[in-house]
Amino acid sequence: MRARFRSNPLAKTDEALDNKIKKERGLIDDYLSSVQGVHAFAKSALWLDNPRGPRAGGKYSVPRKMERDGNPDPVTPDLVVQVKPDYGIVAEMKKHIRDADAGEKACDQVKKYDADLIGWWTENERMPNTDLVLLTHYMSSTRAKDAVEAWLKAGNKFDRPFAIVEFNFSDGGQRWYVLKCTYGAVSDPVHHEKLRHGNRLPDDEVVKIIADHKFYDTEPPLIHMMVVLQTHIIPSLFEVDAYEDKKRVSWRDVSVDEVLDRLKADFGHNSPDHREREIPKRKWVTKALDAFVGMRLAKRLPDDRYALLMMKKADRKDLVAHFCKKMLAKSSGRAAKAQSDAKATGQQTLLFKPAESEEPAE
Amino acid sequence: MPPKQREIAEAAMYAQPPTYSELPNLLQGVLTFVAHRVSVQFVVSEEPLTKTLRGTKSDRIKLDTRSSGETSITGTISARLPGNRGRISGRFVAVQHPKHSLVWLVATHESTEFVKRGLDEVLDLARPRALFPVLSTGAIETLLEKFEKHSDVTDLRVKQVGVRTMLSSKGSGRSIETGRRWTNLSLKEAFQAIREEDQWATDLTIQYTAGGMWTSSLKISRRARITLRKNLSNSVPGLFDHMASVVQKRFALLNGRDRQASVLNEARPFQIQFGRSVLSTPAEVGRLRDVLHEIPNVSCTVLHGNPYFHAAVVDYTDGSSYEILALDAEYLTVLPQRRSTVLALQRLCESVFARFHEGEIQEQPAG
Repeated sequence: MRARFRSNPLAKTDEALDNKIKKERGLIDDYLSSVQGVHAFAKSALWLDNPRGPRAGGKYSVPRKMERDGNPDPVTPDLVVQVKPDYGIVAEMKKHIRDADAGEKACDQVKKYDADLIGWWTENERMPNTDLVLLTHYMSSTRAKDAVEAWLKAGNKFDRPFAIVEFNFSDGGQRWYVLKCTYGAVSDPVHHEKLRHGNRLPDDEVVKIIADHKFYDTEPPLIHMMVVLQTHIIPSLFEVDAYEDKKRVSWRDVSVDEVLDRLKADFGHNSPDHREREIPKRKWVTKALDAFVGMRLAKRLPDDRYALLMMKKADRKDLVAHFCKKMLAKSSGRAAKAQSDAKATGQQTLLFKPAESEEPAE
Repeated sequence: MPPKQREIAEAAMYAQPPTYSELPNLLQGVLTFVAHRVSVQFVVSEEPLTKTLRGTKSDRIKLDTRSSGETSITGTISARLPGNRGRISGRFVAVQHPKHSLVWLVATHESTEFVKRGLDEVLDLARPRALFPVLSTGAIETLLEKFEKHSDVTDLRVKQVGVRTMLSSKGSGRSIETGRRWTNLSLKEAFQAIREEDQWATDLTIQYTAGGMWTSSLKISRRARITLRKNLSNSVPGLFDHMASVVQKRFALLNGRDRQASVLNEARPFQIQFGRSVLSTPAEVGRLRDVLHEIPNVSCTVLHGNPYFHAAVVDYTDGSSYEILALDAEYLTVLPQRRSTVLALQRLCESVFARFHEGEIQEQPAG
């Protein structure tokens, strides 16, 4: 039998790297646009034109742990918006709905919130009037609508008002962030009319969302967390003086909590409300720090501490590309070692391909 | 020039740190007896230069200073030239502006090479760093318009203009073209020509009659440097004051925008307004991306390219970070993050203005 190699792991081609970079950028973009989508819809629901600004007393949470009356299992919708003391919206984000199966699952998920939810910011924690919303990217909006119609035809129903709202940046000289209702309706007639035509979020609100929100309840792609840490958090852990001497190698001893607290303060939650999830989660941060250990950008210390190496530059001038390159090099190195070990023992390695997972090196 | 008068003029300028009000007369003395020109560089320093310059250390540069209180300093610099060309030496004075206290006027009559290899490097060694402001074409125009309105100034003509413009040529490795023209235009005509040809100014040299009697000349560069020749008009102190005001306002616009500066941990975004469509095509956005990648010592991670542009930038000069957003073809939004120093933000603005397109820094408007 001839040995077959699906691909040569030692061929560190530009193509493999470019593909990895493209894939990771796509994942990060998907994640960030989902983050932006939930916050944008919340702002849209709470916005008043006169006087211009968010509605006084309105609140929202991304996500929020709620109990269901008569059901022991709690739910955690991606977004809960209390527009008024007697009206709220519960929303689920599904940026991509790739097929009918995914559409059906999205409907089932939203159906879980079609109940008397407990956990609102009211005296009795209940809400008399609730809308259900499925948030999706405009490219998936038609599939979402088809899925809902099929789901309803199959005998299912929503007891509460339900709507599909798509989000997107418009493509033109001005890139507006637009939310549009493409199925159903929300109960607030003013908000619904705006959504019906496509509600454009004010630019300064879009800027705030992008500046202040980098995470939501779903685990981010590993490289996204690594980029956020190495762009906005770790560099500022070092004093400005440390950057003066180009030849000096600087390390900074930090606890995971110190890094996590800064992330929460700048881009996530730091709320004492027990219904709000920790965003970002601790394990996401340690995963990224462990990845830095694998890249020799950090060392693991006892007691949940790490020594972080100050990066002075990134080759290829782009951190996504930089980390992809390091990861591929690491997995190619493992593959090369595996091949070399196999050769030494006289065995062939069959059908081997470079590891594509984002798991950190040991 | 009689040696004695030359010595007197030099001693008057450099022996003792002068006051701000003494500076114009001392500059005139140097122009009359010592040299054909003097340059006055405006810099911003968050700590007094009298303190920060004393602490400078370098293998290449020897610096001796003498200061008078906290508001003025005089010094001698000896700098080793690259390429084994020996050393260059010279003197300077630095005086704090009395009203705009972050602004310092650093004056010398020495050669361009001394200014570049000695003085500018010493200022760069100061900690915290002295910032070299960058003026827009509009700012230069306003400064010169105010200068022209002074009663002491007549017959003002623009004699030389340095410009930059976008280069649109397939196959060209460069995106910016520089040019210089020798001319004889009124101020209004000169700036109109710059605008009509979609250029931006790097420097302007003007000639004028001072006091109705003598011809004088000066050059303003976008690096906030004024080079004076011949006879100083009474309007020059006013020009210094206006320049100091512009420079301090520019610093204030970029200062304190990061999260660290805010009690509520909020960053304050700002806009770079271009006043025309410069980001409407993928090619133009690609050029912006390339310009950001070319900023030395910076990593620029593109998070989204089309239809809107979003990038995250780390400046390894001091660990600053910020994000760039292009939501509109006519402006960029800059989102400072946890640490975004004035130095880092200025490096960004300078790179964008020099290699992409000139713009104006403005507050992020509501709505």
